[in-house]
Amino acid sequence: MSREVWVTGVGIACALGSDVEAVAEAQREGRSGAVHLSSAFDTSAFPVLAACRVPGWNLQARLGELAAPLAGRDDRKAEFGWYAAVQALRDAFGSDEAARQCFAELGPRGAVHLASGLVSTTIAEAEADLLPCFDGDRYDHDRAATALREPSPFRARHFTDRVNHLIAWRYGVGGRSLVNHGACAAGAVAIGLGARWIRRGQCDVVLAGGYESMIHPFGVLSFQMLGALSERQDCAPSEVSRPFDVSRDGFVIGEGGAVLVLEDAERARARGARCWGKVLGLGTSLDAYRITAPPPDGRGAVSAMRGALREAGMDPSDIDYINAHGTGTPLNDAAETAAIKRVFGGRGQAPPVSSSKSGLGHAVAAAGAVEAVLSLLALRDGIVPPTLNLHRPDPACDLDNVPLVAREAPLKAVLSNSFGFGGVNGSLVLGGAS
Amino acid sequence: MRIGVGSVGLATPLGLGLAATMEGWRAGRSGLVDNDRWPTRWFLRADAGLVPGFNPRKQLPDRKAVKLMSRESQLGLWAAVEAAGPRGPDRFDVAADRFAGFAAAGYEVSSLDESEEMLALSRDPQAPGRVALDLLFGPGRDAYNPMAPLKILPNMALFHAASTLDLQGPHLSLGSSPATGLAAAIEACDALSFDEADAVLVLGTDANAEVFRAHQLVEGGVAEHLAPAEGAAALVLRQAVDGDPILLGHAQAQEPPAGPEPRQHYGQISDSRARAALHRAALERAGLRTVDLILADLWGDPARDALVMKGLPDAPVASSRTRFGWLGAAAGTVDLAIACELVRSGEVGSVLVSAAGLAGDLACVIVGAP
Repeated sequence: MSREVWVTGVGIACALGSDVEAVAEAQREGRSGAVHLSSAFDTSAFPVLAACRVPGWNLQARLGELAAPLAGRDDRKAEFGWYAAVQALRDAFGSDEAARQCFAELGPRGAVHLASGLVSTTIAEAEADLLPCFDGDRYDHDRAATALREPSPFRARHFTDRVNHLIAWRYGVGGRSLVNHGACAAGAVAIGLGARWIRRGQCDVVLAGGYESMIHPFGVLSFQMLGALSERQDCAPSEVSRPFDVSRDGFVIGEGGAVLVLEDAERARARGARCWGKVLGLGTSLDAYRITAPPPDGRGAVSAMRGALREAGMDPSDIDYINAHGTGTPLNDAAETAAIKRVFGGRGQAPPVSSSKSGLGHAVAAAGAVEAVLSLLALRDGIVPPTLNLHRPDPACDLDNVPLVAREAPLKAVLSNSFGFGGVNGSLVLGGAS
Repeated sequence: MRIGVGSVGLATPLGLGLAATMEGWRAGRSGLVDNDRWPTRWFLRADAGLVPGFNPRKQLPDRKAVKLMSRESQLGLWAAVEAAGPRGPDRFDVAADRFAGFAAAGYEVSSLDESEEMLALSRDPQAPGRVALDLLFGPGRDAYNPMAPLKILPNMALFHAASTLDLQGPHLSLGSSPATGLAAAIEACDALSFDEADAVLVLGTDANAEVFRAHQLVEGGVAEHLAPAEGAAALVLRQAVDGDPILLGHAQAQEPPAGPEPRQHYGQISDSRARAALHRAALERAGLRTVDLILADLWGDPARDALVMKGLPDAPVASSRTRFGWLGAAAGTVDLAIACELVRSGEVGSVLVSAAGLAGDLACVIVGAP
């Protein structure tokens, strides 16, 4: 495992923007992307105030004719994935044609690994495809026979390899093509494993990342009923997400997509590619505990962080900043703090730790990929991003959580944590370009 | 490092368990039966591949947990326990944090019961074709099971296997094509070879005989050729010990698009070149010119199957698809498990297992005698 892995292309759409430099600026300035959830649908009977939506989203305006395969499908999450992939490839290779040429030359040594989450039914889909099959409250098989004879633009939403398929169609990627379903850790695992394929010499270029959108009534209802979402109403939307704060009461739902072009460094150097940073290590683990809660000793998180450091060939003291999973749920932030302290030591020994979810919400399957991009931007810009809304630190979260304002600091290596429902953990070590 | 298959668990339309499945396989039986899960008059076919004699409440370790599991998680857990139960690390003498879980699971859609419950909650009485958000979000939602959505999270099959068997090592959750089970096995080989784990539970599970999965089979163009089916397989991979079938070679690739417009070629194939190259690469890696048997991705569609056959090396060919139906994400793993048992029993010396997803993702694994 000797090859170095560069990030040579970045594409992102998140609550902070759909342009990488706009996202970088928002992170530096400590801006929140939260808005009223009611901007997405009528929430008069729903006790959740905020969501972190991608602002001004219009795939057609952004991709032109490349938006056509997803037009009219109400498939916002696939749109984010497709957009981020196209942006990343254009960033890395300069044009669609150059990207296509690259993959034609690579054959099976070009690959895709994208994370995608739960495809819950949208209102449009329910009304078009499901309700016509019901008689009263019961599914009627005769009605289904009629309904299913009609084509539906929505059924394909449930094929989670749709974006991989589009990438193969447009760019001719010829190697392995995987969809990662590792819940909130999926994006980080997709990037880390994609980097391993290069490091092991199995691939030369890998498109890796994740995409997600669950900001629709059925999607948010599930999280709210599980008690995972903040139900705070007494503040502005931008003040709801409060990781590490004593008043935190849950996360704010986010959405988006982020895709990286990972490339063998030698190949990238030879073609004069820009280096956004390096993917140095991945650690994953299973909690084998409960679906929605981490074990109190944080063993899974500890194992993931140590695994990532081991693969990167680093000691804890080599990490300059930790981009925490930091959801803002009471259980997660305390357990993550305890786990970080087991690996890095307490305040004064552990590096600064902050949560991007304070400003862009929890993008679920995309979170690890979006936060990997934010970590690369932090490395590039020499800043430790802030934890917004952290006014009263929880004594159980007693690390340096970088409250409110970004801090200038030269960074060489960042660890980014992603922990998911079902006890799946992923930690990435990312390095700067130099 | 030589990667061996230490044990296998199976739940297929031929039977519940490795022995029952292999008995049915050797007898040349079909696993397809009349579909009695739901009225099929609306569907393209009346048969289905259903796992016989599976009673999750009686046959899974934790009866209380069964109600939190989707059908595919239940089937997956059964296969996992057969392969690595009751506690994987003890059975294989491996530390829990070095025992990995790599899974392929199917498309996630709600069960009919839960969809009926949710839609009953939200249906606008004044306009029955519409969802009323004030009802969906109203007090009636307390009657809805908040844990229900967790059943269909795509990594739940792995969660239940890991928590039951105490697997705390690395993880990988893939979805949801027939090739992903083989992809999980290939990634497991790498995880062992690069010392990321000492043992890996490779799990493939899917439940396409649920109503809304059947909707997807219509959309994907599968239902015209293959019956909806359910099943699961689990294999424990480790550094080979005496008697283990060996994973000799493997390859993965993406098939080129079949036409200029992506919507039109989902599930279709244009030629056999990518598959031929895939199989050549796997054979080369295995150091073989051919194999004794191929388990191939044949659907019973003459035009499609002719292209698939053209991409295969010269060897006897069988297909589980036409005997089991569409096993989705479980198909590759089920075939691999059967191949391992055929090798372990000495019936054949080597088997090439080939699988493809609707999006053109291809994977191939060759298993052989030690």
